Amino acid sequence: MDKPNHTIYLDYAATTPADPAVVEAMLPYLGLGGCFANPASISHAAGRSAREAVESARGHIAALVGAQPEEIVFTSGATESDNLALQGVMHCCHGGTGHLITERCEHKAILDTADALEHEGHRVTFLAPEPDGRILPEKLAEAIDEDTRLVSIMLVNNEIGVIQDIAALGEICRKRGVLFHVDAAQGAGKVPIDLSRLAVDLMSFSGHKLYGPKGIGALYVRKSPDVRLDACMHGGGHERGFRSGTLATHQIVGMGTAFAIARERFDIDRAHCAKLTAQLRDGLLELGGVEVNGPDDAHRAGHIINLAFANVVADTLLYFLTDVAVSTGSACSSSSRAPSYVLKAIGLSDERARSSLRLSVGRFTTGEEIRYAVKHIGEAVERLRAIAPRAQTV
Amino acid sequence: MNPGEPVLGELARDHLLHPRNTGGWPGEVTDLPRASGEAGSATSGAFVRFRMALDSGRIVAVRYEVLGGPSLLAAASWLSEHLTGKPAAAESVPAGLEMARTLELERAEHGMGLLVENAALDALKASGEARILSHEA
Repeated sequence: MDKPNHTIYLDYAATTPADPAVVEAMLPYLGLGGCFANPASISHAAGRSAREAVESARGHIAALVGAQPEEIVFTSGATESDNLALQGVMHCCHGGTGHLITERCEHKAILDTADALEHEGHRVTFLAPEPDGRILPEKLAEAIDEDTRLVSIMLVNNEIGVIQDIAALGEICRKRGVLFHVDAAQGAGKVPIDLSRLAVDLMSFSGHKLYGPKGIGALYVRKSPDVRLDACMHGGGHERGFRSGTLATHQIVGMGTAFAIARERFDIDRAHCAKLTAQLRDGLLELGGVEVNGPDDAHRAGHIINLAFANVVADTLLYFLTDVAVSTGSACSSSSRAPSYVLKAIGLSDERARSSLRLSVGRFTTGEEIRYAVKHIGEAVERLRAIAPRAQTV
Repeated sequence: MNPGEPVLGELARDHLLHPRNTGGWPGEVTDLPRASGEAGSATSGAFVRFRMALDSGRIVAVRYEVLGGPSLLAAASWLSEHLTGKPAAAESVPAGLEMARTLELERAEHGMGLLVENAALDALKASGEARILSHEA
């Protein structure tokens, strides 16, 4: 198999390339002669055209997830959406401090925001996941108390791909009168979402995880029953007063186009990713000493697979993967080589967590690329195992 | 490159990607006495074991086993090359900090130099050849 003339990108969970149709859709909203006007400037036709483009995009995003367009609030990305959801609810109206429930495998956008709220005096419970990464509904039910204001659980984990039972978790929250936020940055367009049927009050989205541009995201804020939250950014009262600031028309158009394409291609993309991930997993399992971390196929988003390679430190392996872009999925400390907190949270040993790679595929990944990646990764693993201590196992 | 991943200098990168003294022993040392020493642990994410073939008070060949990050692998390879042909004495082993500086390891990775130093000294002690360790303190 020949070496490809490009890096094989297997890090779609980190970010995706913008779909060419997205790039094309964005361009008319940037320059002179295009629709560059401020969408808030409805006193002239150019502004109204920009406003129409924004509202069209809002509609596309809402359509993918079964929401109403007016429930979509544009932000700068999922991190801001998460901040707005958590801070917005915990700071809102009630006065004093309250109780927030989340889980240990959440993205840092949630965990760090929860830490900040804890420092303000709020109480935070971090639920422990099961070995496959799932949060049991009964564990959530036990954790809710009279002070609980908000529960935040991600839809799809960015490292191990586990899909949470959002429907069941949401029902518990609804019955107990607690707001429910879901970070769907990794799940939108990858697993079905129908907010008209789910007991979800707030949901975060990202543009760049779904073939849209970076720097744009959205927060779904339920209108019925109405969700109240404090704004984090002030200055003009844009976006129902939740998020002030001039709307980035070109970014919004890009995200809207990306979500529209994702809706059209949902089944195709899903099947494509699941097939390639299986090909990747099966090929690498043939090396021996390779194990899948986290959930089984039935509870995992099809585009992510996390694998442990016995007798290999993944940070070192990355240096040998010159033709393939993957990640360890961990925020390593160079001195301590701290293993992934997600893998640790599901009960893996430090050794196994350090030996793990996250591989994620996408719309533009090909079977030929997977075949080459299996060969390339396999050769690198064998090189490192050749100098690894004997009789070591993960 | 992942967040926190060490930035390697040219020499360290060369040793990492082209590790020296790997594979089986060369034929001419097959029957020579050997010494082995190790440091670190696999559970802590950094382990190295040096094996040395000795002849007439000299280290004639070195092999090593490593489980660890890029800096550790680079340091083990560099030290294996450095020790080959040297007297089988503690003085032949450079101080870990000196190795770390030679390899331009980041400050947070200097411990990897100390680890390979300890493993090499452990091997020399095992050989009964170690003398006063001038830089052990």
